[in-house]
Amino acid sequence: MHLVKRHHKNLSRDNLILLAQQDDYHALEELIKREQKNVYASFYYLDPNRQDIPDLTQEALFRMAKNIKKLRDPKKFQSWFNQIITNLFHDEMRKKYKKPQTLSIDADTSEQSNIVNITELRDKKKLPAESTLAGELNNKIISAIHTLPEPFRVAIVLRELQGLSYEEISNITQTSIGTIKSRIARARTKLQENLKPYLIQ
Amino acid sequence: MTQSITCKKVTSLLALYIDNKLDPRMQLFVKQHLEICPYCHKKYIMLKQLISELRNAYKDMIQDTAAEEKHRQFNIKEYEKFHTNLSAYFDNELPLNESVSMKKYMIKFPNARKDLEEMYNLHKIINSSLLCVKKTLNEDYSKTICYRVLGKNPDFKKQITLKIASFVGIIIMLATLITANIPIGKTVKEKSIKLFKKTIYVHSPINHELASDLMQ
Ligand SMILES: [Zn+2]
Repeated sequence: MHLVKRHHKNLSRDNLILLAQQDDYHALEELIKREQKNVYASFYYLDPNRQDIPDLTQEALFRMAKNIKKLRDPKKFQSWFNQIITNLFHDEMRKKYKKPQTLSIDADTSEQSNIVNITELRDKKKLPAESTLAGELNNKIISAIHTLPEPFRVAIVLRELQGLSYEEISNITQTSIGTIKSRIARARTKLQENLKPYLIQ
Repeated sequence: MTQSITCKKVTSLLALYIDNKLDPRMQLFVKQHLEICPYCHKKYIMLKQLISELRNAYKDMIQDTAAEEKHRQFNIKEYEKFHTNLSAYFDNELPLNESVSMKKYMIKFPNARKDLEEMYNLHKIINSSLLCVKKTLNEDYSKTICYRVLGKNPDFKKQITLKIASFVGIIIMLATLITANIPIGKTVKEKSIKLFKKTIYVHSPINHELASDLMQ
């Protein structure tokens, strides 16, 4: 049994996916082990209220594990899984806020109006490393991302943290590539403004 | 000798004389000397020409600068285009021709590279933050999720103990049935052997291949 597990640890993600699709639960377990921190971090940056992040993480992992057989091409795992994460996040947001937050910001698809800050960040918890300099910078980065309006936040998380292409992000968010391009550019400009002192070397 | 001293004095005053900056008495003194001294006169002509050339060159330069200023104002649009495309350029999402013109622009204006560097620095600090956040997850959900998918009790130890107990129990029972000289019918014995192999197949958590060999 240990031998099997050790063997799985050396497998590529693509191979783990292929095995998991054939009911190899050790492969599925290893796949979850590898992905869970990434999923957790995604929700951490996506959700400014930072409530139920462990629950959301587990739910996303469960949906991934349950539906793994539906994924045809292991190469598309990253994009496919992020679709699950993004959908789950949007469902949660819809549950929490009666009015969808996206409405007011999506009205500016002309991309002319300024990015508005979301001022109320309720129950803002800080990371344990807060006291150190690196921890302070880390908190600044996280809150800078959290102050981005939702569509911009989603776009920058999918690009900068998940490394997805504009086309993949456009498919996940059901938005045109042009809009994605502009959202990422503007999110970066906003982050650069807020993090200016840490960017000049 | 006196001539030479006067020449030296006049030479040193020539620049002021050309600009009409001497007092009238001195102005007249230089003028009169130039009329009688071909040596100083020659110097005077040369200097006058040089000064006027310099003045013209300076005028040209001023005009050029004004033109360049105009040109630079026009370039703000070019810079704006550069800036809006920079993010997509950084992500390698620009079509080839636009990507080439971005590179050309940065060669033309080395300062524009700083914008790109800043974007790279942003990328770097976001990713270092990501590593920090990832470290804060201390739980391992893999087993819980697997069991949820299997639709089983997530209590791992309990599951395994139950599995092993039933496995051992059934094997002992069947082995006794097969090996003991209990007078049972041939068909019953064969059925038992089959069931024995099947049990190994179903309950063994690892050797599925071995078990399927046994089945044949
Ligand atoms: Zn003279």
